[in-house]
Amino acid sequence: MTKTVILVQTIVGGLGIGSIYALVALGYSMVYRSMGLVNFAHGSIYMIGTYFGVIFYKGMVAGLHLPYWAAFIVGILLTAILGVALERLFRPLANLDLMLMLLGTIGVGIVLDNLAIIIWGAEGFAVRSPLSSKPILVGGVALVPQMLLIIGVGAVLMVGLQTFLSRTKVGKAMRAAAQDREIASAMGIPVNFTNAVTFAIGSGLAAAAGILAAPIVYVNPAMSAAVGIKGFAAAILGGLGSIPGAIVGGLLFGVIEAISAGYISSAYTKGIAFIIMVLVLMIKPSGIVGETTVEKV
Amino acid sequence: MTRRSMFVMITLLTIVAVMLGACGQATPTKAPAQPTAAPAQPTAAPAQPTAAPTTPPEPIKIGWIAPKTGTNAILGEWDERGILLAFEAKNAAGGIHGRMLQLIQEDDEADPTKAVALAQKLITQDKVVAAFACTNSTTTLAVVPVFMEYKVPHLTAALNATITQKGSRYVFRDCPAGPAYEKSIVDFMVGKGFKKFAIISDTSAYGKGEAEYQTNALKAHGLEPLAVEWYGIEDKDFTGQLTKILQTNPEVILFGGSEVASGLIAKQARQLGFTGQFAGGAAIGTTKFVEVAGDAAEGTYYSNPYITNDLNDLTRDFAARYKARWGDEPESHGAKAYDGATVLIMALENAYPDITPERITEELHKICGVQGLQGTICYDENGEGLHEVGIGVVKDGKLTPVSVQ
Repeated sequence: MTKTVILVQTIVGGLGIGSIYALVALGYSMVYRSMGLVNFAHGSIYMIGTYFGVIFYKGMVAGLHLPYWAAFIVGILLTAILGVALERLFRPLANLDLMLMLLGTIGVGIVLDNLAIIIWGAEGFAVRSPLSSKPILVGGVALVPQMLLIIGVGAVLMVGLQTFLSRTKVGKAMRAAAQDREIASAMGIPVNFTNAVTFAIGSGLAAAAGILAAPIVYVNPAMSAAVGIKGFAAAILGGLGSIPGAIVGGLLFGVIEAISAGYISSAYTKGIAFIIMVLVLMIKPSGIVGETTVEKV
Repeated sequence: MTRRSMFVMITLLTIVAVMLGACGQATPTKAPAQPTAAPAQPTAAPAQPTAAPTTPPEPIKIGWIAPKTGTNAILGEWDERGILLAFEAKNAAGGIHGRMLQLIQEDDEADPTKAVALAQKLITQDKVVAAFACTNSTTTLAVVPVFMEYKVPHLTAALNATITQKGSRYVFRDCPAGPAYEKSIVDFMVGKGFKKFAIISDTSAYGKGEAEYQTNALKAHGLEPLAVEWYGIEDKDFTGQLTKILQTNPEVILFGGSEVASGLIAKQARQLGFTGQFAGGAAIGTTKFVEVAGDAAEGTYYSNPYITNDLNDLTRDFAARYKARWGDEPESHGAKAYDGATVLIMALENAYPDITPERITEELHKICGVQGLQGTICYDENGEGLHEVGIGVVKDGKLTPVSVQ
């Protein structure tokens, strides 16, 4: 393997995992922008969303074996409904003191984690990829089909979200509500409704990330913590509240992790990724994309 | 604002209540153990006249600390099943002279801080006379001083070699130590003519220990690993580490870490185009590794004192009873827990009627020549009782023996 091949290989792996972080980070950022709420239960929503999808793919619900794409859609819809329910639960927490948000949302996250253990057990399981496990070789770089699916679907979802927000009526209403709650309300925009839609979309994206990642990771209730924290770190890295920021932050976080594992020291991957995050925040506290986005969502 | 705070407080209290409820409910899912254990009491009755004529004798309390939740939950589950199988059989047969065995279970989530607190709780509040603590190396290393201080014996299923080198006479290992596994597999692979090895392991006490024993075993053959790579126990993507390893063109990748991560690594290494051999110790000879790795597991060599359920009458009987009780095929972790429980029951029998931690410790040290599922158990002064490890291979998705001890 040449040096370039190795570098490209490492970056592709990082982009795959980074797409997962980006999709999760979007949920943090969207909800923060629209409700001023930092939702620390989001990692748990990601985990529950993963289960909501894969239980249908694995035939764990009344022996129903749905094709992967169908399980993917069902999982996203169910998680979006859960998101709407959580929005109602978290509504009193919006714009409160960060400490109260932290306690309230972390508490709900722990409840969700425990529910998952009660319903599906603590052990967890492996999920088979719907695609071939044989890599596609391009100039010496091994491209894993599931990884390509993650990057591809992830990109489609991100572009779709951007289009939805800028082109549709609901999307525009959501942006207006996020920009100024009072004025939007006075203009006749149902703010609670737009918040519920925001929560539903954020949760649905987390479920999408989890179901896409399921065949390359191991599904268990403990998966909420690691990705929850990294998705949050990615959102902060890009600039909390910014949509492009969440995407850039997520991808960057994945790539930094992969490169530090491949080039610096594989023993301290996580530490290095977080050190870089802290350094970026020291230089530019608003995050990488932070202030450049005039548009709020 | 005050109203809001009130609402938040109430919400939080509800959450706490639900959480406690959730935790409470989490245990009953495992509780089916009790109903089957309960019918044991009537059969125990005939033994009672000799011990206590009227009131049923007090149960003997044995502690248990292992992960029931988190990534390592599977270890706790296997461990629990092996122990309960032995305990239920003993209780059904009348217990220790009419006294039932009661397992008091605690979940350490593989967290050493929690394990220490739980060890203290079991010893001081529950007054257990012995315990199974723990299944992870990191947690076991944390609780060894606690059990030593209170002079209570404990059996561990963890592999780090230094566990029995801390000067405690109260720790007993219910399987061979890590170096035995890694020496066996490295000797075997070198014997097959392989010379180029790379190691990938996690940064836990277990993973670090295994990688070190693998390196030492290679050194004994005059070999150096071409690469040694590390990952955190929660990691899921190993592209960076594997890319680094594959640059060195190894013939064999040795796994040092746990079941799930090693399975993911095998899968990802194949996807990156690695066509060489996989090999590893205890964690690799498990159904969980095979499940996670899928097709990539095929042909992987592993070392384990418990290679197959079909080794002899003892293992066949164990496998049949395990399957009847838990509905699953047993594997090595359940077997070693069962061996540990068997040895503890023997020590309790021998200590009777003086069921005290000190007497049980003495009796455990005397155990030698006991035929277990993993071989003949004979405890030395450090608490090591097993030293032999065999070799197996994953064939058609099944754990299959290559050579038998």
